[in-house]
Parts: sequence; C-alpha cells; structure tokens
Amino acid sequence: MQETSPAERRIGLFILSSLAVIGVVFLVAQRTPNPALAALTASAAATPAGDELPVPDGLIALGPGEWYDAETLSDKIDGRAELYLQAGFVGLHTRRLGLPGQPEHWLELMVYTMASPSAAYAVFSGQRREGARPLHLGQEAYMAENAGFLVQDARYVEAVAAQSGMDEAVQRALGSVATNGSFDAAASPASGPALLPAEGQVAGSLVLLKDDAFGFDRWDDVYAAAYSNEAGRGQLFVSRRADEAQARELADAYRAFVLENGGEALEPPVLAWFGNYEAVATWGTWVVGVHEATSAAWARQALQNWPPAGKEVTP
Amino acid sequence: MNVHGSEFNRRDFVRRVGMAGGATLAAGALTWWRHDADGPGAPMRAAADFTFPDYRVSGQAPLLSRVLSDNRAVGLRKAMELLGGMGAFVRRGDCVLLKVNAAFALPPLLCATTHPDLVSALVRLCFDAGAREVRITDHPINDPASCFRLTGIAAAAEAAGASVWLPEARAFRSIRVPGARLLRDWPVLAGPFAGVDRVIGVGPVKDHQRAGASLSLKNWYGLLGGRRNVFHQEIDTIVSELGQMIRPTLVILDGVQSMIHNGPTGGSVSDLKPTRTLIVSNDPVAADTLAAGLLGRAPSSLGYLALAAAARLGTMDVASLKPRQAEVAP
Repeated sequence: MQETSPAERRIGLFILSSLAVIGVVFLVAQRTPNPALAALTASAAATPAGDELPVPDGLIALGPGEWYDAETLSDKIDGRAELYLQAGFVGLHTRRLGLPGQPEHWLELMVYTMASPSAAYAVFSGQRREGARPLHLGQEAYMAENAGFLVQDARYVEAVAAQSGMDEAVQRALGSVATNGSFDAAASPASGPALLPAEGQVAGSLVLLKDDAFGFDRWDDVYAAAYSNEAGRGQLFVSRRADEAQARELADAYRAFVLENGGEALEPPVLAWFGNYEAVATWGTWVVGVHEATSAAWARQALQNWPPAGKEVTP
Repeated sequence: MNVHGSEFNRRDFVRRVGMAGGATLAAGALTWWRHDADGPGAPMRAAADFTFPDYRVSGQAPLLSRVLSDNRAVGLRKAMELLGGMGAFVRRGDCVLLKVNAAFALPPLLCATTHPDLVSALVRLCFDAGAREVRITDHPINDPASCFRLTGIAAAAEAAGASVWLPEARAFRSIRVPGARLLRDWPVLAGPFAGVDRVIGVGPVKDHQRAGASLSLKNWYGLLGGRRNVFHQEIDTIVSELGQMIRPTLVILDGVQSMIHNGPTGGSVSDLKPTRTLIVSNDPVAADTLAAGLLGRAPSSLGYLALAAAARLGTMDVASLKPRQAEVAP
C-alpha cells in the first residue's frame, strides 16, 4: 500500500481536526439558542407583486400594502383572528391611505378574503356596529363613526379612519374594492336574508350565525333578524338544510334542547323559555323559527307570516 | 506496480473508495439527523437566565383610587393625589419604566392603545416626583416603529422628556417563572428594564375576544417574545402567570373611553363607551376587578382573575382596599 508522507498526514489531520471543531461549535451553539430567534414575531409579508390594493383617486398610498394568511393573521389583529379563522379565513390585504398634505388624516383599508360568500357575510353581520348608515356599495355596506364596512362576494372589507370627519375618504376607499350594488339583500348570493321579511325588521339586526346559534351547538348557518311592532318583538330565523328529513330532525332536536334546559311546551309550535317564547317549524328543507319573542301570540303570528309575501320559496 | 511507479493496486483503490464513501455516508447521516425540517417555528428555548425584580414599594399597603373625569391628564393627577401623589411611588433619582399598550398601529381615536394624553401626563408626573429618567416600552403585535408613531405614543413621550425603547432582538432574555406551567424558558423583553427602579403599567380598558377583557394583567403580554399567540388557547393561565412574572409599582387603567365591543382592536368609535373612569392601584387584581364593571362584565366571568387572586397577586375584594374616589368637573 502506498505510504502517505508526513506532510500529507499532517494536512489530513489538520483538515479533519478543523471539521471536528466546526462540528462541535455547531452542536454547542444549537444547545444555547439566542432567544432573539424566537423573540422576533413574524412580520407581515409584503403584498405579492401585482396584488396591491388600488389607491383611490384623491388618496395617496402611505407605504406598501401587507398580506396576512391564516398563520399570521393574529400578528395583525391578535385575539380577533379567531373570529375570522373559525368562519373560514383565506387572507387579508391591508393598505394605509392618506389625504395629500394632511398627515394626521389617514385610513387603513383591510380586505378579508373568506372561504365563501356566506363566511364573508357571517363576519360582516356578526360585527355590525350601532348607528349604521347604509351605503349603496357592494352587496351590503354601511358607515359607522370614522369607519365603513362592506361585504361583497367572499370579501369582507373595513376602512377605518384615524380621524372623524373622513367619511368621503372612507367611502372612496370602500368603493375602490367594490362595485356599486343594490342594497337589496335579495341580491345576495346567499338567499337566507331574502327570506326574512323586510317589514318590521330592526335596521342593522340581520346576522348570519355560522355556528352555535342561540346556544344550540347544532345550529349553524342560521340567518336571524330582530323584529318589533305594536304586538311585541323577537327574532325570526331561517336555515336551509340538506334535505327535508334533516330539517325535521333538527327542528325536533332544537325543541328537545329548549325543553331540556328549562323550557315548557305550549300549544305547538311554541315553547316558553325563561320568560320569553321560542317556536320552530319546517318548510321543506327550511327550518324556520322564532327566538326570544315577548309573547306566545307574537311568536305564532311571526311563523304564520312566513314565507314573506311575494317570495317564492322552494321547500 | 503501475506505470507511475507507485505500489497502488486494486485492493487499495477499493479500500480508499470505500472509506471515502463511508465518510460521505456518515456525513450525510449526521446531517439528516440534525436537520430540522420545521425550522425555528417552535420556540427555541434557551435556559432561563433572567427574572424581573419586584418593583413594588416595600411595605406599602394595597391602595386603589378611582376618578370620574372626561380629561385624562386632569383625572390622572387627581387619582394620584388621592393615593398620596406620585412621590409615594417614585423617589427622587429613580429610573421609571412605563409599560404602555402600543400593540397595534391604530390611531388614538380608537382607544385600542394607551392614549398619548395619558402618556404625556404620566411622564410629567414622574419627572415632577424627581425621576431622573422615564422610559416607554412595549413589544407590539404590529411593526413597532409604526405602532409607536401612529398611536401618538412616541411623540407624546418624547415631547414630555421620556425615551422610547423599541424592542430589539438582543433585548430579549429567557425567563422561567417559578411554579408556572407556560412561562418556562420563554423569551421576554428585558433590555429596557436594565437599571429600572419603578415600573408602571398603563393601558386602556378593553373588551377582548379571547380573554374577555384586556386590562392591567393582560398588559404584560406585550413583554413576551416568540410565537406568543400559542398561549391564546390557555389565555386565563397565561394572564395569571404574567402577573406572577412581574410585580409592578403601579397600574393605571384608562376607562375614560372603554372599548366594550370588538376588542382588542375595535375599529370604530361606536365600539367605545364613555365610561369616564381612571383606575390607579398597586394591586392589579383589584384594579382589573373594578374595571371589569366598566365593560359590563362580572369579575367572575374573567377566569384569570380568580387564578391571579389564588396566586396571591392581589384581591378581588375591592372594598377591602377602601377605594378613594372623586369626580373631576369637566
């Protein structure tokens, strides 16, 4: 066998020793990680190229937009992320916009892309602010003080201003990501809202409850709205199920739930419950009901008035 | 012997190739063993090497004041006066750190962060009491520089003579809270606390989607590093452990406008209610218990309060502190 020279042997040992030292250094370093590696929170990713939110006329962009996905949404809105994640969140585009020459007057436009139009409507309706003033934008939209809110297709949009009195800028921002649309809820791709009568409906009370409606864990995708008239008040709700059998079974299950939790059966379909009245019935694949009515007569009448006049309902 | 005159033969060749191949395989196996496909996503926990000192005034009895006011500066001054003045908490020459809530890059109008008017008034009170230095810090959820700027906190603090300490990677240390289950070998923002004598927590009264309320104990969440949102699933426990992690000199809760809907970020002024109240106390449990009422919540509905009280971080029996109360005319 060929003999290695002393020089070659020394070079070889030096190389091997160096590699061994490097390896030991890595091992030691990995055992004592710098907490800074874990300390730095994930920052928002820059909005993908070509995917920036538009800058409306009359406003200027205050920096690049941001993009958040399901992993990083809580880095933007903290605990409120769960509201969106549970409803079916896909992504969030944000951008700050300002009025030229007025650094104190800026707003943030936030476009939440949800998994479906009903998911978008659920987060829109579930956060409806008091004192809402309807806007003719998108599927449905309104202004509250210093902010505007909109839903269209699978998108829920907020435009929040840093100062009061920026209504025009807020509406311009909303309009840049939506099309002027009918305020008629019947135009919604989700037909539930269209089947709640408009007459007597309390403005701004329409809501889509994605799950756990009224404390019943089997109630999902329930549209509800509040009603008030001389005879009393309460909530009317509707929910479409997969088939008639499921609708009937769910209605029976809700009645049983109410009775198991302190309710008392009255003349069907009404139940008394903690000083209020509940009622539930089916119409083909639809479950229709009344929640927290102030009187049994009001509950019964509300159900008899369904479906709303002029609405063609496919059972 | 080959034509070059060496004694190299096929056996030697095979042996050397085998050794080289074996070394390559060994190196590859070692690399595969040490490879972390998930990256540093999970917290890389360094051994704990830091604890917060106890910043409470030694021997001081539990104190609490509540002032009704529409003006934060005036209301705070009155609230401190009821407790004996800032001098009862800050000594001449002290370095004071104010842990504000600058979590979000939102304007002061929304009351989702510590109001700049309150920051300004508090800094001035500290200097009036003889503080040699006042620092402001937080580890925001959004970009720190944007948060301190857009909330108005940085401008207010600096105008009053305080310094803003933004979180830097090197400012984090690993902490282990004795007896804690969650806060073990977890990174916390420690750098701004170096040389600090007194710590005051100051934040708004807010609804919180997960915790029920964001008050004085939850304010310390802003000192945590790492992927701290993992604690959301055990929010009551983590908030209680935060109270064990740091014992401040004082806490101040701003309920002049309380966020009663859609917390912790809010988004519209319509999420706010003018509850016109400032609460100051050296007992964060008592302060939070009282503040819960501003949100229309029963203290018993905030799970972390009972845990904190059980851990002797304070008392939910607010009446036992004989709160000092006043109303300031607008």
